[in-house]
Amino acid sequence: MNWRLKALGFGVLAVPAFSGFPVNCIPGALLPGADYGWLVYAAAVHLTILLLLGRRAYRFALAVALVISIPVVLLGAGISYTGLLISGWSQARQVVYAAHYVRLAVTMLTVIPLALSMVAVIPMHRLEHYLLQRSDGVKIAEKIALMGLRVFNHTLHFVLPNILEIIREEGVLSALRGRGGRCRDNPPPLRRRITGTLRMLTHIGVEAICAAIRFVPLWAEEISRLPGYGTEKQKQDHAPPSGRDNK
Amino acid sequence: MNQTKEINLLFRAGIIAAFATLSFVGTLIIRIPIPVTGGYFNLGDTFVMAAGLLYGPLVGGLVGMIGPAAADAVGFPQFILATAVVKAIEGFAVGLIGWKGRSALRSIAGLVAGIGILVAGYYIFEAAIYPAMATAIPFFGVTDAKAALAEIPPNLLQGVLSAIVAYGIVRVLNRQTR
Repeated sequence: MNWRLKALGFGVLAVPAFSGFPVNCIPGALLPGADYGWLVYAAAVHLTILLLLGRRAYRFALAVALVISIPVVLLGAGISYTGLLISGWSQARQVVYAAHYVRLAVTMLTVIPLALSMVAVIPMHRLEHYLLQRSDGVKIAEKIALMGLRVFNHTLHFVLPNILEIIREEGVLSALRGRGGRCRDNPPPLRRRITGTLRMLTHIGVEAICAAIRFVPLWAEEISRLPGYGTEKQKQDHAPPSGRDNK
Repeated sequence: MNQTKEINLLFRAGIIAAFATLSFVGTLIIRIPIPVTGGYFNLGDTFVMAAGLLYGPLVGGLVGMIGPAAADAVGFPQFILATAVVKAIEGFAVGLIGWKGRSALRSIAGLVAGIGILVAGYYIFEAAIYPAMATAIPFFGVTDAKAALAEIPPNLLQGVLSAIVAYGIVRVLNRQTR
Protein backbone atom coordinates (compact mmCIF):
# COMPACT_ATOMS: atom_id res chain seq x y z
CA MET A 1 0.00 0.00 0.00
CA ASN A 2 1.13 3.54 -0.80
CA TRP A 3 2.71 5.34 2.22
CA ARG A 4 0.37 8.31 1.73
CA LEU A 5 -2.66 6.03 2.16
CA LYS A 6 -1.10 4.46 5.25
CA ALA A 7 -0.36 7.90 6.73
CA LEU A 8 -3.95 8.95 6.00
CA GLY A 9 -5.21 5.75 7.64
CA PHE A 10 -3.19 6.39 10.78
CA GLY A 11 -4.30 10.04 10.76
CA VAL A 12 -7.96 8.99 10.73
CA LEU A 13 -7.27 6.36 13.39
CA ALA A 14 -5.69 9.06 15.62
CA VAL A 15 -8.87 11.20 15.74
CA PRO A 16 -10.48 9.35 18.70
CA ALA A 17 -7.24 9.56 20.71
CA PHE A 18 -7.10 13.33 20.35
CA SER A 19 -10.83 14.11 20.60
CA GLY A 20 -12.21 11.32 22.80
CA PHE A 21 -14.96 10.72 20.22
CA PRO A 22 -16.50 8.12 19.92
CA VAL A 23 -14.49 6.10 22.46
CA ASN A 24 -15.80 8.03 25.45
CA CYS A 25 -19.41 7.50 24.31
CA ILE A 26 -19.31 3.69 24.64
CA PRO A 27 -20.68 2.73 28.10
CA GLY A 28 -19.31 0.12 30.48
CA ALA A 29 -15.88 -0.88 31.77
CA LEU A 30 -13.97 -4.10 32.21
CA LEU A 31 -12.20 -2.65 35.29
CA PRO A 32 -12.41 0.81 36.86
CA GLY A 33 -10.42 2.92 34.38
CA ALA A 34 -10.43 0.34 31.56
CA ASP A 35 -13.52 1.45 29.62
CA TYR A 36 -14.81 -0.81 26.85
CA GLY A 37 -14.58 2.09 24.38
CA TRP A 38 -10.85 2.54 24.98
CA LEU A 39 -10.16 -1.21 25.03
CA VAL A 40 -11.87 -1.69 21.65
CA TYR A 41 -9.99 1.34 20.30
CA ALA A 42 -6.66 0.02 21.63
CA ALA A 43 -7.30 -3.35 19.97
CA ALA A 44 -8.14 -1.60 16.67
CA VAL A 45 -4.94 0.49 16.83
CA HIS A 46 -2.70 -2.51 17.56
CA LEU A 47 -4.33 -4.62 14.84
CA THR A 48 -3.98 -1.83 12.27
CA ILE A 49 -0.29 -1.35 13.07
CA LEU A 50 0.30 -5.09 12.78
CA LEU A 51 -1.51 -5.29 9.44
CA LEU A 52 -0.09 -2.13 7.83
CA LEU A 53 3.50 -2.13 9.12
CA GLY A 54 4.18 -5.81 9.81
CA ARG A 55 5.26 -7.83 12.81
CA ARG A 56 8.75 -6.33 13.20
CA ALA A 57 7.60 -2.69 13.27
CA TYR A 58 4.75 -3.63 15.59
CA ARG A 59 7.10 -5.32 18.05
CA PHE A 60 9.37 -2.26 18.02
CA ALA A 61 6.46 0.16 18.61
CA LEU A 62 5.12 -2.01 21.43
CA ALA A 63 8.56 -2.28 23.07
CA VAL A 64 9.07 1.50 23.00
CA ALA A 65 5.54 2.03 24.35
CA LEU A 66 6.23 -0.34 27.25
CA VAL A 67 9.61 1.25 28.03
CA ILE A 68 8.07 4.74 28.17
CA SER A 69 4.79 3.95 29.89
CA ILE A 70 5.77 1.41 32.57
CA PRO A 71 8.04 3.83 34.55
CA VAL A 72 5.48 6.66 34.26
CA VAL A 73 2.57 4.50 35.45
CA LEU A 74 4.46 2.67 38.20
CA LEU A 75 6.25 5.79 39.45
CA GLY A 76 2.98 7.76 39.44
CA ALA A 77 1.17 5.02 41.33
CA GLY A 78 4.09 4.76 43.78
CA ILE A 79 4.03 8.53 44.45
CA SER A 80 0.24 8.52 44.85
CA TYR A 81 0.13 5.58 47.25
CA THR A 82 3.05 6.97 49.27
CA GLY A 83 1.09 10.23 49.59
CA LEU A 84 -1.95 8.24 50.69
CA LEU A 85 0.06 6.35 53.30
CA ILE A 86 1.55 9.57 54.70
CA SER A 87 -1.72 11.52 54.76
CA GLY A 88 -3.85 8.65 56.11
CA TRP A 89 -5.28 5.80 54.03
CA SER A 90 -8.61 6.48 52.34
CA GLN A 91 -10.40 3.70 50.48
CA ALA A 92 -12.27 6.15 48.22
CA ARG A 93 -9.07 7.90 47.08
CA GLN A 94 -7.34 4.56 46.59
CA VAL A 95 -10.11 3.53 44.16
CA VAL A 96 -9.80 6.85 42.29
CA TYR A 97 -6.00 6.47 41.97
CA ALA A 98 -6.29 2.86 40.81
CA ALA A 99 -8.77 3.84 38.07
CA HIS A 100 -6.57 6.78 37.06
CA TYR A 101 -3.44 4.67 36.57
CA VAL A 102 -5.26 1.88 34.75
CA ARG A 103 -6.71 4.54 32.39
CA LEU A 104 -3.27 6.13 31.95
CA ALA A 105 -1.71 2.75 31.11
CA VAL A 106 -4.42 1.98 28.52
CA THR A 107 -4.09 5.46 26.96
CA MET A 108 -0.29 5.36 26.79
CA LEU A 109 -0.17 1.81 25.41
CA THR A 110 -2.57 2.92 22.68
CA VAL A 111 -1.30 6.39 21.78
CA ILE A 112 2.48 5.74 21.84
CA PRO A 113 2.47 2.89 19.26
CA LEU A 114 0.07 4.95 17.12
CA ALA A 115 2.31 8.06 17.22
CA LEU A 116 5.44 5.98 16.46
CA SER A 117 3.69 4.29 13.53
CA MET A 118 2.60 7.65 12.12
CA VAL A 119 6.24 8.77 12.08
CA ALA A 120 7.57 5.40 10.86
CA VAL A 121 5.21 5.29 7.89
CA ILE A 122 6.69 8.49 6.37
CA PRO A 123 9.78 7.55 4.29
CA MET A 124 12.05 10.44 5.36
CA HIS A 125 14.95 9.55 3.04
CA ARG A 126 12.69 9.10 0.02
CA LEU A 127 11.06 12.46 0.75
CA GLU A 128 14.47 14.14 0.85
CA HIS A 129 15.52 12.36 -2.34
CA TYR A 130 12.27 13.41 -4.05
CA LEU A 131 12.74 17.08 -3.09
CA LEU A 132 16.37 17.08 -4.29
CA GLN A 133 15.50 15.58 -7.65
CA ARG A 134 12.54 17.76 -8.62
CA SER A 135 13.02 19.03 -12.15
CA ASP A 136 10.75 22.09 -11.81
CA GLY A 137 12.74 23.66 -8.96
CA VAL A 138 12.23 23.65 -5.20
CA LYS A 139 9.83 26.06 -3.49
CA ILE A 140 11.07 27.91 -0.41
CA ALA A 141 8.57 26.04 1.82
CA GLU A 142 9.98 22.76 0.48
CA LYS A 143 13.52 23.93 1.21
CA ILE A 144 12.50 24.69 4.80
CA ALA A 145 10.85 21.25 5.06
CA LEU A 146 14.03 19.66 3.68
CA MET A 147 16.12 21.48 6.27
CA GLY A 148 13.76 20.44 9.08
CA LEU A 149 13.81 16.80 7.96
CA ARG A 150 17.60 16.70 7.77
CA VAL A 151 18.09 18.24 11.21
CA PHE A 152 15.37 16.05 12.78
CA ASN A 153 16.92 12.88 11.35
CA HIS A 154 20.45 13.93 12.30
CA THR A 155 19.44 14.79 15.88
CA LEU A 156 17.38 11.67 16.41
CA HIS A 157 19.64 9.13 14.74
CA PHE A 158 23.17 10.49 15.40
CA VAL A 159 23.15 13.05 18.20
CA LEU A 160 20.99 11.25 20.75
CA PRO A 161 22.68 7.82 20.50
CA ASN A 162 26.03 9.61 20.99
CA ILE A 163 24.72 11.46 24.04
CA LEU A 164 23.39 8.21 25.50
CA GLU A 165 26.82 6.68 24.87
CA ILE A 166 28.45 9.60 26.76
CA ILE A 167 26.02 9.10 29.67
CA ARG A 168 26.82 5.38 29.78
CA GLU A 169 30.60 5.66 29.32
CA GLU A 170 31.14 8.42 31.86
CA GLY A 171 29.01 6.66 34.46
CA VAL A 172 26.79 9.74 34.80
CA LEU A 173 23.93 7.92 36.44
CA SER A 174 26.01 6.28 39.15
CA ALA A 175 27.82 9.58 39.75
CA LEU A 176 24.44 11.25 40.26
CA ARG A 177 23.49 8.58 42.78
CA GLY A 178 26.75 9.20 44.62
CA ARG A 179 28.12 5.70 43.94
CA GLY A 180 30.92 6.62 41.60
CA GLY A 181 34.58 5.64 42.26
CA ARG A 182 36.02 7.23 45.40
CA CYS A 183 32.60 8.16 46.77
CA ARG A 184 31.41 4.58 47.20
CA ASP A 185 31.85 4.39 50.99
CA ASN A 186 31.44 8.06 51.70
CA PRO A 187 28.69 9.52 49.50
CA PRO A 188 28.85 13.30 48.91
CA PRO A 189 26.49 15.59 50.84
CA LEU A 190 23.10 16.39 49.31
CA ARG A 191 24.08 19.94 48.31
CA ARG A 192 27.09 18.77 46.33
CA ARG A 193 25.01 16.03 44.73
CA ILE A 194 22.43 18.59 43.56
CA THR A 195 25.04 20.99 42.13
CA GLY A 196 26.83 18.03 40.54
CA THR A 197 23.58 16.89 38.93
CA LEU A 198 22.85 20.38 37.56
CA ARG A 199 26.41 20.65 36.23
CA MET A 200 26.11 17.27 34.56
CA LEU A 201 22.76 18.22 32.99
CA THR A 202 24.32 21.46 31.72
CA HIS A 203 27.24 19.52 30.24
CA ILE A 204 24.90 17.07 28.50
CA GLY A 205 22.73 19.97 27.24
CA VAL A 206 25.75 21.81 25.76
CA GLU A 207 27.01 18.61 24.09
CA ALA A 208 23.56 17.89 22.63
CA ILE A 209 23.05 21.44 21.29
CA CYS A 210 26.53 21.66 19.75
CA ALA A 211 26.13 18.29 18.03
CA ALA A 212 22.58 19.02 16.85
CA ILE A 213 23.39 22.39 15.23
CA ARG A 214 26.88 21.50 13.96
CA PHE A 215 25.90 21.10 10.31
CA VAL A 216 23.07 23.65 10.19
CA PRO A 217 25.12 26.50 8.61
CA LEU A 218 26.56 24.12 6.01
CA TRP A 219 23.17 22.63 5.15
CA ALA A 220 21.55 26.08 4.97
CA GLU A 221 24.07 27.12 2.34
CA GLU A 222 23.82 23.84 0.45
CA ILE A 223 20.01 23.82 0.35
CA SER A 224 19.84 27.50 -0.63
CA ARG A 225 21.86 26.62 -3.76
CA LEU A 226 19.12 24.31 -5.03
CA PRO A 227 17.36 25.92 -8.00
CA GLY A 228 14.33 27.87 -6.79
CA TYR A 229 10.85 27.29 -8.17
CA GLY A 230 10.18 29.52 -11.19
CA THR A 231 13.64 31.16 -11.18
CA GLU A 232 15.19 32.51 -14.41
CA LYS A 233 17.56 29.54 -14.60
CA GLN A 234 14.66 27.13 -14.28
CA LYS A 235 12.65 28.95 -16.94
CA GLN A 236 15.63 28.83 -19.30
CA ASP A 237 16.28 25.14 -18.59
CA HIS A 238 12.69 24.16 -19.28
CA ALA A 239 11.85 26.61 -22.09
CA PRO A 240 11.29 25.03 -25.48
CA PRO A 241 14.15 25.62 -27.92
CA SER A 242 13.53 28.73 -30.02
CA GLY A 243 15.08 30.82 -32.87
CA ARG A 244 17.95 29.26 -34.78
CA ASP A 245 18.06 26.24 -32.46
CA ASN A 246 14.64 25.22 -33.81
CA LYS A 247 15.87 24.76 -37.31
CA MET B 1 14.39 36.35 -2.17
CA ASN B 2 18.17 36.88 -2.40
CA GLN B 3 20.55 34.13 -1.37
CA THR B 4 21.77 35.71 1.87
CA LYS B 5 18.19 36.09 3.10
CA GLU B 6 17.41 32.54 2.06
CA ILE B 7 20.45 31.16 3.89
CA ASN B 8 19.40 33.11 6.98
CA LEU B 9 15.86 31.74 6.80
CA LEU B 10 17.06 28.17 6.32
CA PHE B 11 19.57 28.56 9.16
CA ARG B 12 16.76 29.65 11.49
CA ALA B 13 14.57 26.76 10.33
CA GLY B 14 17.42 24.35 11.10
CA ILE B 15 17.96 25.84 14.55
CA ILE B 16 14.23 25.59 15.32
CA ALA B 17 14.16 21.95 14.15
CA ALA B 18 17.25 21.07 16.25
CA PHE B 19 15.98 22.69 19.47
CA ALA B 20 12.42 21.37 18.95
CA THR B 21 13.76 17.81 18.56
CA LEU B 22 15.92 18.19 21.68
CA SER B 23 13.04 19.60 23.72
CA PHE B 24 10.78 16.79 22.40
CA VAL B 25 13.27 14.18 23.59
CA GLY B 26 13.96 16.04 26.87
CA THR B 27 10.24 16.07 27.61
CA LEU B 28 9.79 12.44 26.64
CA ILE B 29 12.72 10.86 28.50
CA ILE B 30 12.33 12.37 31.99
CA ARG B 31 8.66 12.05 32.95
CA ILE B 32 7.73 12.11 36.62
CA PRO B 33 3.94 11.94 37.00
CA ILE B 34 1.93 14.41 39.10
CA PRO B 35 -0.93 12.29 40.52
CA VAL B 36 -3.43 15.09 41.22
CA THR B 37 -3.78 16.31 37.63
CA GLY B 38 -2.50 13.36 35.66
CA GLY B 39 0.19 15.64 34.22
CA TYR B 40 3.93 15.11 34.56
CA PHE B 41 7.19 16.80 35.54
CA ASN B 42 9.89 17.08 32.86
CA LEU B 43 12.98 19.05 31.81
CA GLY B 44 12.05 19.84 28.20
CA ASP B 45 11.75 23.52 29.13
CA THR B 46 15.54 23.73 29.31
CA PHE B 47 15.83 23.72 25.52
CA VAL B 48 12.88 26.12 25.06
CA MET B 49 14.49 28.65 27.41
CA ALA B 50 17.97 28.14 25.93
CA ALA B 51 16.58 28.65 22.40
CA GLY B 52 14.95 31.93 23.46
CA LEU B 53 18.13 33.21 25.12
CA LEU B 54 20.44 32.16 22.28
CA TYR B 55 18.35 32.95 19.19
CA GLY B 56 15.58 35.33 20.22
CA PRO B 57 11.83 35.39 20.76
CA LEU B 58 10.67 33.99 17.42
CA VAL B 59 12.89 30.90 17.60
CA GLY B 60 12.11 30.44 21.32
CA GLY B 61 8.37 30.69 20.70
CA LEU B 62 8.36 28.23 17.81
CA VAL B 63 10.55 25.73 19.66
CA GLY B 64 8.16 25.96 22.64
CA MET B 65 5.15 25.43 20.42
CA ILE B 66 6.50 22.43 18.48
CA GLY B 67 8.79 20.28 20.70
CA PRO B 68 6.97 19.85 24.03
CA ALA B 69 3.53 19.69 22.35
CA ALA B 70 4.76 16.86 20.11
CA ALA B 71 5.96 15.05 23.25
CA ASP B 72 2.51 15.47 24.82
CA ALA B 73 1.04 13.75 21.77
CA VAL B 74 2.88 10.65 22.98
CA GLY B 75 0.72 9.58 25.90
CA PHE B 76 -0.89 12.79 27.18
CA PRO B 77 -2.98 14.12 24.27
CA GLN B 78 -5.27 16.23 26.52
CA PHE B 79 -2.38 18.56 27.34
CA ILE B 80 -1.25 19.32 23.76
CA LEU B 81 -3.24 22.56 23.51
CA ALA B 82 -2.16 23.95 26.90
CA THR B 83 1.47 22.99 26.31
CA ALA B 84 1.64 24.48 22.80
CA VAL B 85 0.19 27.83 23.94
CA VAL B 86 1.97 28.13 27.32
CA LYS B 87 5.42 27.07 26.08
CA ALA B 88 5.21 29.19 22.94
CA ILE B 89 4.56 32.26 25.11
CA GLU B 90 7.26 31.14 27.55
CA GLY B 91 9.93 30.77 24.82
CA PHE B 92 8.87 34.06 23.23
CA ALA B 93 9.02 35.97 26.53
CA VAL B 94 12.40 34.50 27.52
CA GLY B 95 13.81 35.54 24.13
CA LEU B 96 12.18 38.96 24.18
CA ILE B 97 13.62 39.90 27.56
CA GLY B 98 16.85 37.93 27.74
CA TRP B 99 18.17 37.71 24.18
CA LYS B 100 19.79 41.02 23.27
CA GLY B 101 22.89 42.31 25.01
CA ARG B 102 23.93 38.95 26.49
CA SER B 103 23.92 40.51 29.97
CA ALA B 104 23.45 38.19 32.93
CA LEU B 105 20.76 40.39 34.44
CA ARG B 106 18.64 40.38 31.28
CA SER B 107 19.05 36.63 30.90
CA ILE B 108 17.94 36.02 34.49
CA ALA B 109 15.01 38.44 34.10
CA GLY B 110 13.95 36.55 30.96
CA LEU B 111 14.19 33.19 32.72
CA VAL B 112 12.19 34.45 35.71
CA ALA B 113 9.49 35.68 33.31
CA GLY B 114 9.55 32.27 31.62
CA ILE B 115 9.05 30.46 34.94
CA GLY B 116 6.16 32.83 35.80
CA ILE B 117 4.48 32.19 32.45
CA LEU B 118 4.93 28.41 32.81
CA VAL B 119 3.32 28.32 36.26
CA ALA B 120 0.58 30.89 35.60
CA GLY B 121 -0.17 29.58 32.11
CA TYR B 122 -0.78 25.99 33.21
CA TYR B 123 -2.80 27.23 36.20
CA ILE B 124 -5.09 29.29 33.95
CA PHE B 125 -5.54 26.44 31.49
CA GLU B 126 -6.21 23.81 34.14
CA ALA B 127 -8.35 25.93 36.47
CA ALA B 128 -10.41 27.88 33.93
CA ILE B 129 -9.97 27.06 30.24
CA TYR B 130 -10.06 23.24 30.35
CA PRO B 131 -13.06 23.01 32.73
CA ALA B 132 -14.91 25.49 30.47
CA MET B 133 -14.01 23.50 27.35
CA ALA B 134 -14.98 20.23 29.06
CA THR B 135 -18.63 21.31 29.15
CA ALA B 136 -18.67 21.01 25.35
CA ILE B 137 -15.90 18.42 24.83
CA PRO B 138 -15.61 15.89 27.71
CA PHE B 139 -12.11 14.96 26.48
CA PHE B 140 -10.75 18.09 28.21
CA GLY B 141 -12.34 17.25 31.56
CA VAL B 142 -9.07 16.23 33.21
CA THR B 143 -8.54 19.04 35.73
CA ASP B 144 -10.31 21.52 38.00
CA ALA B 145 -9.32 24.53 40.11
CA LYS B 146 -8.22 22.39 43.09
CA ALA B 147 -6.02 20.12 40.97
CA ALA B 148 -4.56 23.13 39.16
CA LEU B 149 -3.56 24.63 42.51
CA ALA B 150 -1.82 21.39 43.51
CA GLU B 151 0.22 21.45 40.31
CA ILE B 152 1.78 24.84 41.04
CA PRO B 153 4.70 23.53 43.21
CA PRO B 154 5.86 20.82 40.73
CA ASN B 155 5.53 23.28 37.83
CA LEU B 156 7.54 25.85 39.79
CA LEU B 157 10.25 23.28 40.54
CA GLN B 158 10.28 22.22 36.87
CA GLY B 159 10.62 25.85 35.75
CA VAL B 160 13.39 26.67 38.23
CA LEU B 161 15.46 23.55 37.45
CA SER B 162 15.05 24.07 33.69
CA ALA B 163 16.00 27.74 34.02
CA ILE B 164 19.16 26.94 36.01
CA VAL B 165 20.31 24.37 33.44
CA ALA B 166 19.37 26.68 30.53
CA TYR B 167 21.33 29.55 32.08
CA GLY B 168 24.36 27.28 32.52
CA ILE B 169 24.13 26.14 28.89
CA VAL B 170 23.86 29.70 27.59
CA ARG B 171 26.82 30.86 29.70
CA VAL B 172 29.01 28.03 28.44
CA LEU B 173 28.02 28.61 24.80
CA ASN B 174 28.43 32.39 25.02
CA ARG B 175 31.89 31.92 26.53
CA GLN B 176 32.83 29.57 23.69
CA THR B 177 31.66 31.97 20.94
CA ARG B 178 33.25 35.08 22.46
